[in-house]
Amino acid sequence: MSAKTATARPDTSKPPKKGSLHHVVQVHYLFTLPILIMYLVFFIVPMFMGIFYSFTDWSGLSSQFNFVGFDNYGKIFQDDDFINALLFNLKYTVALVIGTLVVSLILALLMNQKIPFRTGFRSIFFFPAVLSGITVGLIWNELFLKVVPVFGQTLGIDILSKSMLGNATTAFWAVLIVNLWQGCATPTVLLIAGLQSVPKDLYEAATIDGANAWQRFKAITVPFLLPIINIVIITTTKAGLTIFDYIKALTDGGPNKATRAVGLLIYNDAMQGGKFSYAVAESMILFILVAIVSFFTIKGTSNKEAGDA
Amino acid sequence: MKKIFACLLAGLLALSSLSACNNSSTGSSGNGDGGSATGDDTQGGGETVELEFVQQKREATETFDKVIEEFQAAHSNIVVKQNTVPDAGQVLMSRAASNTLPDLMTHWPGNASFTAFCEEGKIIDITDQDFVSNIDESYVNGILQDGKLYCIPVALNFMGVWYNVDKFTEAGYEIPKTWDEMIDIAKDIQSKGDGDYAFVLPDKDTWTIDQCVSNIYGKSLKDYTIQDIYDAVGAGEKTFADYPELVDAANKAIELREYSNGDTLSLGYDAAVSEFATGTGYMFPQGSWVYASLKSANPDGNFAMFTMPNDDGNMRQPMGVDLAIAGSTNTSHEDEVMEFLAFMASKEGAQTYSELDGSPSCVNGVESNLDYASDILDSFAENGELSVSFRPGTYEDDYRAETQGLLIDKDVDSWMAKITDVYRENYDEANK
Repeated sequence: MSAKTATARPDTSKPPKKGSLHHVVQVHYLFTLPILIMYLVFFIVPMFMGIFYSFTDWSGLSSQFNFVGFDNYGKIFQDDDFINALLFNLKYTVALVIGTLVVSLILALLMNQKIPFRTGFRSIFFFPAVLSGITVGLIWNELFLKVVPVFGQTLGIDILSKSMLGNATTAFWAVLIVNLWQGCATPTVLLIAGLQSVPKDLYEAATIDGANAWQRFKAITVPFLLPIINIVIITTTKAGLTIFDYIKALTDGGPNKATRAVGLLIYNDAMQGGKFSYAVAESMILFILVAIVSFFTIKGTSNKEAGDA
Repeated sequence: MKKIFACLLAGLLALSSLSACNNSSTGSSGNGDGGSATGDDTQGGGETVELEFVQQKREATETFDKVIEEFQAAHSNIVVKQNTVPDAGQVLMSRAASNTLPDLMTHWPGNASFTAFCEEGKIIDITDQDFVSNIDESYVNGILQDGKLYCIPVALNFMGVWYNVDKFTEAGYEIPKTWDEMIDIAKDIQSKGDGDYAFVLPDKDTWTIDQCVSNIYGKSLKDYTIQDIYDAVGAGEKTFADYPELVDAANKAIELREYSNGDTLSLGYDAAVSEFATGTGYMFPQGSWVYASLKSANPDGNFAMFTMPNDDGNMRQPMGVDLAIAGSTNTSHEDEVMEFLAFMASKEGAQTYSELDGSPSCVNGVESNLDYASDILDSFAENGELSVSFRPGTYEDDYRAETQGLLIDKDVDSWMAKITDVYRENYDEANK
């Protein structure tokens, strides 16, 4: 920069100097640009297209369609199939969140002990996370058909001696088991990381004060794990409400609609029934539901952190 | 601040849930885009044209490989790439929605999606092509849509009961001519108690249940066709329960389950094919299309088919168009697409297909040598009829789920009432 301009009045339109705070912030924004553009193109734009189509009677194929206002939405709330699917999703989500928390907490606590082959166990329990949902579904399909009944018959357990997928009551739990088998992997790893961040001296102090194992867990471990438990609850809730791939691969909604989740219903209406606009309207309702539930989960869980309890 | 953050985070999560739905439905069409893009590529010589052919009948994949090989030998400038995907019907539907249908595809005439494709002008109209005259006229007339032909019917199919010939011979069973004879055999097999059982029934896939029920009533419908029944129920004149043949079929479908592999609801179609080909089941109520799969699952097996019997032993034998080939208007190589369709309608192409697939051909002059179904083909000469029915696509899915429910609840009356309601609902919707 020449001496001349250096003496001139500061020009605000000029780019900020390298290294200045303003410049750094600008660069940071630039870094978010690629993902922002992709997010806009692949998520936001299709979403608005979806909202648009949900007010039409577009079949998915026709070149012409009419605006029907809130007709689709009106019909959805009188549709028993949709209501049943929604109830399934809610029931499933509650079971999934509780199951994920309990199983991954137990696994994390076990694998945080000084047990032999600790690293080996950790890798084994994390392994399911690298498979895709459909693959896992297909593998378990065979296991439920051929392997599980053999155990059930040998051990004399009625409920396991037939394929769990073939019964309207047990199919729900079968899907849940498969989902937990895979879904607990990541939360377990997160919780182990959380457990390692708990200062050892707190436990020592508590032991000296005469706290037993349960009291130590309640008063020290849980508060330190809370931020991670929050994340687990939030992501699992979302996963439960939008469940699709396991059910598609395991039961395809059967037997007799017993495991027909909203995601599957949307897919079937759009792909088989040729009711695209109706299916889009269904997914809008699911979207609003997920938004509301997520809002309350985040609000309800983000208040407490270590030290608050 | 915390509240705003919570709001934002909730919104983002909800959005990502939608994107998950999007991914699953467009993933397949993404694939397809790649496929049809290669269709425009011209290779080395600059003259070769590549056609993408989405083939829905998985059992016929190897058969089509051979047919394509023959076709390419005669047309050195055309490469046909067969693409078989799971859930092909849905894949084609999503590709139709995004205007990326493959150059060629197999489909089922009468299928609701295919009918919609044709109505929307996505399929090439071949009514006036010369090669159509090679095809038996009655089959062409059976699948016309508003007087127009959109696909080459390649092969016919029929339902019946597959049986393990060796097991039948060993036990000294004759082919049953009436329902009671068949049930007697089933009881006899069951009474052996050494793990043998009569019927392999895959009830996990709902379409096979649908086929099983129509397999039974199809043999007894004499005064009216299933299409007549659909029309009368749709118009509100009758209910499904007014047709004794349907009530009878529902009861018989339930009865069959007593002599089955037991846990039928957990057995899928693919697993059932290998179960019948290699396992301890004696009979497999299925369509002729399973032939190629049985052969590949157990090349040494000795399987044949008899007509699903009814009470008086006087059976009709409905035939359906199994598989038809169509070209999409989306193609940039219409001439080459026509070449392939002409080949499939030619005696050579159809002969190869018929021999390998084991299905009767729709093309004139093709000799179908179907040893396994001589019983059925004999009866087809006197009692045969082409049966293609059109029902609303939304009905099919619900009907199949309800019919799976029938096998669980075993309540025929409530099933009849439910499918009548579901049919009328969808009929009204479709005829708005």
